[in-house]
Amino acid sequence: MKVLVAVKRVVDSGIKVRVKPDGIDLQGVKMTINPFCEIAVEEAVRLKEKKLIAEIVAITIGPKQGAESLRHALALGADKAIHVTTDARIDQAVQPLDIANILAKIVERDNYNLVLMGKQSIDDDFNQTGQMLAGLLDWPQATFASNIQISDGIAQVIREIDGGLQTVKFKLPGVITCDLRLNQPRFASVPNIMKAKSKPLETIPLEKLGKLHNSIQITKTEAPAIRKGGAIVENVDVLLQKLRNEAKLF
Amino acid sequence: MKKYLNSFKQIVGVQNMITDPFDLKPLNQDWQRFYQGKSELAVTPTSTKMVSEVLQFCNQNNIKVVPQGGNTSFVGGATPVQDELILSLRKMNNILEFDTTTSIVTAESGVILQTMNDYLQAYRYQMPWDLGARGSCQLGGNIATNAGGLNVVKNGPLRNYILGLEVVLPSGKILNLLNKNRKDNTGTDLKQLFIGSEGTLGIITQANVLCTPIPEQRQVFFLELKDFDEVIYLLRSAKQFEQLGAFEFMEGRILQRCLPFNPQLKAPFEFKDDKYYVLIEICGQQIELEYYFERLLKHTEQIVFNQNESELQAMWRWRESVPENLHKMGHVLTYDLSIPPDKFEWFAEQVYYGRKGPYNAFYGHLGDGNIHYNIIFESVDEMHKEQHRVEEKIIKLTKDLNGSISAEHGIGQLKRHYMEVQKGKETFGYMQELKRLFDPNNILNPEKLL
Repeated sequence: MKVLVAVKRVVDSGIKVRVKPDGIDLQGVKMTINPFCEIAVEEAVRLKEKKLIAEIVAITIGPKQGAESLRHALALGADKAIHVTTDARIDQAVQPLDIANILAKIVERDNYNLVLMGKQSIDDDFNQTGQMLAGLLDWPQATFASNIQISDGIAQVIREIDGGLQTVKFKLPGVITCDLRLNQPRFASVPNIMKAKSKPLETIPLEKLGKLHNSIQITKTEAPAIRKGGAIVENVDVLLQKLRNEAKLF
Repeated sequence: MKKYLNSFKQIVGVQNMITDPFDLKPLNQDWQRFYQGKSELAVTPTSTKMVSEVLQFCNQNNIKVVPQGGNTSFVGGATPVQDELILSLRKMNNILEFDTTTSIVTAESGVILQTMNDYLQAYRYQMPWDLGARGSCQLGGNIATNAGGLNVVKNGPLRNYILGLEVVLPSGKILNLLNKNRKDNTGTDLKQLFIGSEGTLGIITQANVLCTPIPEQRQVFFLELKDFDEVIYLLRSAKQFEQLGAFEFMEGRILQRCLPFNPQLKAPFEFKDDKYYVLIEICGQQIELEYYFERLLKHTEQIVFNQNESELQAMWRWRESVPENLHKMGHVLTYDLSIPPDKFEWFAEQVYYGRKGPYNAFYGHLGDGNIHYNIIFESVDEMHKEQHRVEEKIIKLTKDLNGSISAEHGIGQLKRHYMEVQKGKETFGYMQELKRLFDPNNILNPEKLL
């Protein structure tokens, strides 16, 4: 069984971002693999360790530095990587439908049994790409996966939904998007990152696979309002008064 | 103390006095809850002048005073022994200026270390020392104890970075040693007496501190080694790294036991009892990872490194959570010593042959030869029974190795009775004379250090 894992390179969630009028300032900022994509890679590696899949291919769309996220995926245990190169801003100009179309082309070219992805990226929070890809391929999908079991070509996925947990089952091939509680990715080891250098990495310019339509335009980016301090009140009467007059709750 | 309440009201104002026993409780007690003071009054002055007036009054009336910063001492240095007046610096928390040309910050001594760093971050600078208590410890306390911490292997001691001090002497006299000159060879450097004096010679109220640039990049490696010799061999290589930021050691015996206390924290390895773990931080401009890969792989294949900020924090958390986790495992006797780095394991084996007896483990700033040796007892009684014998043994071993009985934690109440043995009669004599010179009535932090 062959798995395609799509990974996105995003601003490191551990650092403070600077907001500019045209978007987040990416100049000199530390970037890393999207946390949900990393969870997808880790899950693929675990499935391979259980001998349920034979080959893991990691793919990313982005500029030259995107190869670092692929190398990270290779160090975690992916076998091959595909780098679809573009200089467009990956946090703004590379949008879900275009990504899904490109991934669909690769899926059809290489014949995968399963596509694993993060449920959403932490820069745009779209949560659309996996679903759109399944639609384009006419494949079943299971999103927000917190548990994945595969046996005899059947995938059984526990999904985290608002009401609790939902279990779905479908015949592969299919698309599964990964949520936080699916697993905790391992640290990359130095020997593995060195081995990653000799694993195959294919580079394809984006124009060969598709086009960026920029159908969604970002018109404004602003930082959230600064939180005002709370207050300790003396008794319930004062609390009610503040809720009514200041918070205007009723 | 009751008879003086009105006088203190005049000097500091009622808003700067704490008399409620409930509010005094945390000030009377150290964070490890080893020491319990009986102070009935704490004052929280808001200016150097107020501190001066308080001390002058206390000196005249023979009132003993305990200066208190963040109260994060490991040795009971910041809490009252009896019912001394607590003089808390917490309200003197203004950062006065940062000179961007000289990278010198001037601040009052009640500023919390983390607050200093938050302020300096905008200028891309940071404090040159760092320790786990950064969210609570204050500038004055750090200086008064010559705090050690994680950056000594890279930056050297805190002393190097104090250019000037303002100190209020026990008499109330304000000694102005503030100075923003990097170089000043004009005779005896008096401020050195106060750095590390643990609040026994004067109260620090302001300081000029030389800051260091925030490293552009930080990379953390976590390594697993088979035996202690491999650790020392690694230390020798690491000391050659110009960009070495930290070198911290933890026994597998500790980390393995810490696993249940950090259930959500990503572990770099499946920690094993018989393995040895080292955290190496590299920091600087343009870190060439390949350079470090090549050199570290010569020591072991078991090396992981962080791919992002949260992994970096996770690896540090394993190291920094050791002291608090040990405390959760039982009643802890902890020893902070300087001994030759290659003798750490040998040392542990001398205290309890074959490492038998109560659970004992060591970790620490191996890069500076600073070992934190801990013994965990299941009951307080067991601890009290063993304490004397074990301590005598540890002090003797340390002395035989020409080490220090307190690398970074200071003396406080805990190690006072070892001072003469450690320093020798003559040196100790001079220290006592200096104390008499500055504090003839012995009002400042009595029964501590000397």
